[in-house]
Amino acid sequence: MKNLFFLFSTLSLFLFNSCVKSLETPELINEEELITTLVVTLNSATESLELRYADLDGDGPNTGEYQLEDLKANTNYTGTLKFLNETEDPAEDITLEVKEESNDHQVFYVVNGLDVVIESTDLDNNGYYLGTEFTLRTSTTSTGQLQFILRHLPNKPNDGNPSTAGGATDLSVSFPLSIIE
Amino acid sequence: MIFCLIVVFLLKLIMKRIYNSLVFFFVFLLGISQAQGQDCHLQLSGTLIDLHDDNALEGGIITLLERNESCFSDQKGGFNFKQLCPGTYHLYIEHIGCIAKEVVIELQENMSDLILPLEHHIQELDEVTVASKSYIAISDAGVEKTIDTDIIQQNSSLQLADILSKISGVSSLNTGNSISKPIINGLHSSRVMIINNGVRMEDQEWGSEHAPTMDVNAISNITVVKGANALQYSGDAIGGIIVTAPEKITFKDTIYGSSILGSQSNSRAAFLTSSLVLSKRNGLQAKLQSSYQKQGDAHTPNYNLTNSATKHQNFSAYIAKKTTKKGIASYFSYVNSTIGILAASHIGDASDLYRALTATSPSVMEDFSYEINAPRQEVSHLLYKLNAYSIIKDKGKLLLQFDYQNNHRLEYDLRIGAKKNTAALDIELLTESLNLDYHSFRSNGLQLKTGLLGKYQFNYSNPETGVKRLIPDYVKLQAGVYGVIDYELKNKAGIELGVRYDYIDLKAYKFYQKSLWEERGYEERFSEFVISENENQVLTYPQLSYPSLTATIGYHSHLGTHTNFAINVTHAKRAPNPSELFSEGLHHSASRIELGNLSFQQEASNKLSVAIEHHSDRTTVSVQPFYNSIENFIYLRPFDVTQTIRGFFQKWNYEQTNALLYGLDVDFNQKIGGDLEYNSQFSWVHGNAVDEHQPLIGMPPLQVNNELSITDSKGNRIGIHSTSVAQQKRYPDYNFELYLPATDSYQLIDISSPPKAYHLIGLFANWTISKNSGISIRVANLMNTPYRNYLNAMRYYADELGRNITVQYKITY
Repeated sequence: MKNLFFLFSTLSLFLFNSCVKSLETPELINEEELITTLVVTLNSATESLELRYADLDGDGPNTGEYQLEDLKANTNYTGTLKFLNETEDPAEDITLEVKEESNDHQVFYVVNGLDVVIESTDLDNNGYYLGTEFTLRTSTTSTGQLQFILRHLPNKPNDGNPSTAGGATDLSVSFPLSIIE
Repeated sequence: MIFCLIVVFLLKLIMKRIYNSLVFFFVFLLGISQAQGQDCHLQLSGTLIDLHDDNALEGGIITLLERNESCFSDQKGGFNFKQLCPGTYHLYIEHIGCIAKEVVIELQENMSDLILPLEHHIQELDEVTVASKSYIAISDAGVEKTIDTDIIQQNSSLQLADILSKISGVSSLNTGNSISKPIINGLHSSRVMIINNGVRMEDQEWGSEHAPTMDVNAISNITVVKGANALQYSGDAIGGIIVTAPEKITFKDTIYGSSILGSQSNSRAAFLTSSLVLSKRNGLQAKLQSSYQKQGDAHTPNYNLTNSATKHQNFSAYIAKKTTKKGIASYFSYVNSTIGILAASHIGDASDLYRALTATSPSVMEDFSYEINAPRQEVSHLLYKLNAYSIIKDKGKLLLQFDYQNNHRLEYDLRIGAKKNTAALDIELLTESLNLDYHSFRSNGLQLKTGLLGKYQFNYSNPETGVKRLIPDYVKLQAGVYGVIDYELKNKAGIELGVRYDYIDLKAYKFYQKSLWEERGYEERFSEFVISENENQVLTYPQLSYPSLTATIGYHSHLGTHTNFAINVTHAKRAPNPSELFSEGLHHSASRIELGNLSFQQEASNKLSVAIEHHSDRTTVSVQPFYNSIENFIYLRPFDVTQTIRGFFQKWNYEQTNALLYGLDVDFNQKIGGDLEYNSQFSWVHGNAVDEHQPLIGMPPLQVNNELSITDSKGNRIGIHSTSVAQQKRYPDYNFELYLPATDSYQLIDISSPPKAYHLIGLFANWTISKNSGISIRVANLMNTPYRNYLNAMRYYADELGRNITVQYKITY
């Protein structure tokens, strides 16, 4: 009798506990540091170009959209990268966070087929490359790929090769480009 | 809140009613069974023995139902009743772990040689109603396989699935070296039911990288029943069941304990486990147990597996008061594991996967460390059980069980900034269930088991993670009813019928990416689920229900004196799990996007299992073929490569197909002579996706285990063990081509080809130093062979473990 009473009171207690957690409308999670858009601004003495890649549904089924421009041969460009979250209104500038946590970030460049030399010009707080700003020098006419890879927590310093630098990829966009006369 | 109070009040009221009617029932029974007075001097004595090995059973309870008088069997299994009158008596015999039994005695003169054999073999399934009991009861080496306390203790540092892979037909599905879950006849996860101490484990078992959250040191033995359902809990174990049982404590005044201290060369691990048992003759029992294990980075023959360190701890407590008529028991267990995930497996897009596949060693290799960095899992599981039983005189046993489980899973990712120390996945799964069961005593060869189940499950995904929910918040309610009839025919043959009906009701709050909601056509089909939407996301409230009927029929008999035969046919259904329904997003360690499907039907399995066992003095052979046809089989397969801003990723869909699995398990045991013994096991599974005309992904390759051992009279044992695993030649080709900007070329990403065959040799030795202490040594992968395992998700990134020497010391007190 006593046992059973004990059993059932304990049972009730637990059932009561469970009741407290009822299914409620969950809050919407807006992913922090979500990057939807990469904007590359290239300025030379004579012109200003903007390359852009945007994928607003992240890993959803929609594919991203490119905005491309041709580069001029034998030209020196200064470049800046901008990472945006365009699901917010107005768009959130994630570049600020990347620069704030510059020690934990790095942009890697991968060039293929294009006759260009690209070099990072901005540094993190420890004096290692960050890569959100760069110079890009074009030579002869050519076509190929220019890829930007943003990583967090890469091993620093490194030789700028993303395959050995480690870390986790936040962004990886490859622009098909041409260098024309 | 007020509603809850009312519910609790009502429940109390109902319980009280049930209890009152029970009391009334008892009184009624007592009233009709009064014995009459007579001149009585007869004596009845005898011995309680184990049906299988004729060993005396101490501490059994023998109740003379007519006199309402009980006694315990002594050390030699003996018992004695005096002052009896001539007449017919019903003896009710119980022993811890055995199935209780009733015997009718015609007493005309003194009787002193009564032998009462008890079925001590299926003791592990004591309170678990296995639908195919007749299918398993016949065999020592057959379909039911038990791993006993000795083996568990000698492998104290291993995971459940690793210990179980010593059984034919069972293999383990791994993620790295410390996450492993059992596969039975090619099926795993939600299709394999684990019953831990009488409680069905609810530990987010749906994910392949979610290992069972339990500690083998807390249990005394493990039984695997291939192709059977534990109808008492559910009907959805279409792969098989694993039943773990606690230590059997005898009824006598005693206190004892044991400790195991050990160390492992690979991963430089140390572990300690201790237990203490208290038992009183009056039926009071208690046990405390705890264990702790710490491992550093493991290493393969050629390199360190950076960030593969782990830490496990557990604590369990048990207290019970049992008598011949009723009993109450309470069990509590808490397990906590921190598991490092191989650093090299945290990759970006498919081009990283290509690099990993073409490299000979992992991309991250650092010096040995005990540190567990991100990515890592922190999983805890709390289990609480309260159960009571009451014997209804002459009729049967009434059992009531309540259990509570809380599984909390945290997964940490490489993060920076304010969320650096916040988990990227934080899911809490709470489950409560109430079982009411009735087991009748066998009369005229017939036994009935029946019961009701009510279950409540709540899943909560913490939004503080700042990462999209992998599994949505949901509530799942389940109600079930079952009945199993077991009829003993002549000559140890028997037939068994079982039926179970379940109703599952699932309600979830799920945010969908709007583009996916539209692309999938959910917009038209499930518009009634939509609650609200914004520019990017749709909040939905899916309400799904799954009624299911499970039926099973089994028959067993003896073909001559040396051969046993059993056959079992089961029709079972399994409702899709939350991961199969709702998955949506990037899965980092696999570098792929996984997508569930809201419109899934239940899986329906029709399985035929047969077991034939032949035994002679020195040889035992058991052959167990099976055939499992599964309609609407849910599996994950690649179907596309997609570009995201993070690069190119494979898309994997959960899909349904009609699957066909068949295979064969063989066990062979030969006593060669002296103390030399040879054991061999063979497992083979053939799995096909019927509609696609191609093999099923992830089927265990053919495996043969051989073992040669010598045991002396003191129990000292030494042996050599070999495992041969063939290359899986039957696999679907899901390879794809990927454009790599770095080389401006297309490359084949070979994710499908299974690794090569391998052969491993192990040694083991157990040495008893004194009556209460012993040493055991195990060497795994003696030859330090580098190999990769098809069933390991990390096979793309690194080799398996190299040589590992485990030394442990056990002391009892």
